[in-house]
Amino acid sequence: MYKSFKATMLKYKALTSCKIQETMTFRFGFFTSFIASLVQTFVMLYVWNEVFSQKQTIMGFDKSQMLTYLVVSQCLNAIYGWYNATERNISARIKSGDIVLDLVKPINFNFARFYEGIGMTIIQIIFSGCVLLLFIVFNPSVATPTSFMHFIAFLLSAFFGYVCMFSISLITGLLSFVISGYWGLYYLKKAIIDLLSGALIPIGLLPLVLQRFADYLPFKNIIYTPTMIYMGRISINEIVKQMSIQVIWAFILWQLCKYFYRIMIRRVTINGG
Amino acid sequence: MTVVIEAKNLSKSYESVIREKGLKGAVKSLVSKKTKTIQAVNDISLSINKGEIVGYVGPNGAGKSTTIKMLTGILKPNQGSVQICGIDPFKNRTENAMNIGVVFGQRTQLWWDLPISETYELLRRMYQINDKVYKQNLNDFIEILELETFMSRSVRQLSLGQRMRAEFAAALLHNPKVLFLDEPTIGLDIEVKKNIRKFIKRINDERNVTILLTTHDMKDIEELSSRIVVINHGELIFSGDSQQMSKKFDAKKTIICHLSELVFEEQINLSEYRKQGIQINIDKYSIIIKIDATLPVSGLISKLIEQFPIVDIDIQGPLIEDIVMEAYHV
Repeated sequence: MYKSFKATMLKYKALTSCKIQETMTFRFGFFTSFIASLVQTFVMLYVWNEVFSQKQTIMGFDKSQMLTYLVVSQCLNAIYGWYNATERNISARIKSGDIVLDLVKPINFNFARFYEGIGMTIIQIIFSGCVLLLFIVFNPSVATPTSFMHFIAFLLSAFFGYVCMFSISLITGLLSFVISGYWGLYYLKKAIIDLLSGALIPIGLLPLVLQRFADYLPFKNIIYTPTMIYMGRISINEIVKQMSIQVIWAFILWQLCKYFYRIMIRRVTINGG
Repeated sequence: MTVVIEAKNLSKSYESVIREKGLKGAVKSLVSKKTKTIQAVNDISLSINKGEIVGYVGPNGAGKSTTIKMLTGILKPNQGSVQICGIDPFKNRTENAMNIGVVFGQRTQLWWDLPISETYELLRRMYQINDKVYKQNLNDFIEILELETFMSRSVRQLSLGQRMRAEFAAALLHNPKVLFLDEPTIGLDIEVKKNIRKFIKRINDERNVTILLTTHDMKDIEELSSRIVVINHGELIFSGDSQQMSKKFDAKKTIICHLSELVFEEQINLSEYRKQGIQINIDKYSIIIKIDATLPVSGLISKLIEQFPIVDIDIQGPLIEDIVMEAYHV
């Protein structure tokens, strides 16, 4: 039992390690996309700086809190953002027909994509972690986590958010088994997530109708919840509750991935002979 | 004899979108989509024994690749059943994957940006290959396929010949019982082709691997396969060895008599030969005869020798290429 579990783990770990190596060969692309997200963060920082020169607080956020929210959420977004590679990879492999080679491997398709994704994410985490650290050191407005406990809870919550995000990406990717030209779907997904996950602004700043709406959808688990935990803006009880919601959503979305895989695999047609 | 590949009444059809020509057609297709059902494979039954090398041939679009995809568990057949080593490949995809190895000549399973050794390392984990088996196989393949010189180079830097050799090693590391080769020699030079054929033969001899091979190079079929299966328009039209095949598609052998002087049609009673079903033609210094592969030729030749100043005679057995061409047009 233990032995077979270990072998299974090795199987997926090998995928992660290959993906890390592959990502490393694209150092330059990686570095430039990193600079791009840094520039974006700077722009938003200046905008909010200007806003706070007129006003003391906005919807319960003071300047320091808003800047902290901004930097932390942008770092999370960068980590997840790279994740879109999952759906991009799947749809590219479907387009070329190379997907057949993934389907003749003795490995669970969804899990394989997950562990490949981890490989890319590990590198992104290192980059994003450095950015966060740089901001904390050089910008006194950006705060450290409220406490060690909050930091741990933040990491855990970010992981659950990550699983939610991955599952949504995977579902989009699986849909490209039957939809040719996945990019329309991709931009729709990106727009919804940017708005409802709290990637651009805290969800508290959205109109009330949208806030209500966001409560019933999985997206706010991705960025808003972990960021709020980092900032210590929700109570211990609320942390437990929010994390339970995250776990439930992660579970539901992963089940959806399984369901979509089963459906799509029956309808797959292979391009190019 | 144990049956390794067993396919019964396999059928597969696709929905294909019909689009009218040009921009107008493109706009129109946004509103109303017409589809057409294409029957890629129609009622094919196939049974392959352990250790056989079966050449699976047919013109482009005949349904070869679709069949292979159903046999490897990638596509679900609309009708019929498949068993590979007693396992339904679509239902038990991962279980089946352990038993099979696959080489697609037009695709690569190697990681494009990594050295081939990294892909092998990954496959070792993925198939949970025993350390001893892995080392033994890897060393064997490095030696036979001469991979040593480019083991640490990334795949995108390899030539097609090098890549295909690496591809074969990747497909065989886990000791598969069945090997599916979909156009494995496509685009390769003569020498690499020859080496690959030798390798396939050797794998089949030493490891008793059952091989299903699709190709457009009849040399592959001639040198490797113990049985030929021909399909066209999704239907199986022949299964048997090359002799049975030449019988079925009444293959002709060609006799060319080279003469020392010009011949003219009047010198030879063409209609008499043609009555016997012998095609005979004259081309300046030679007489070209096409005759049923099964008929004896000695009488005919001695008659010609008496009549004409023959300096040389070529007899070409029925070329498999011609027979296959014949079969495609049935």
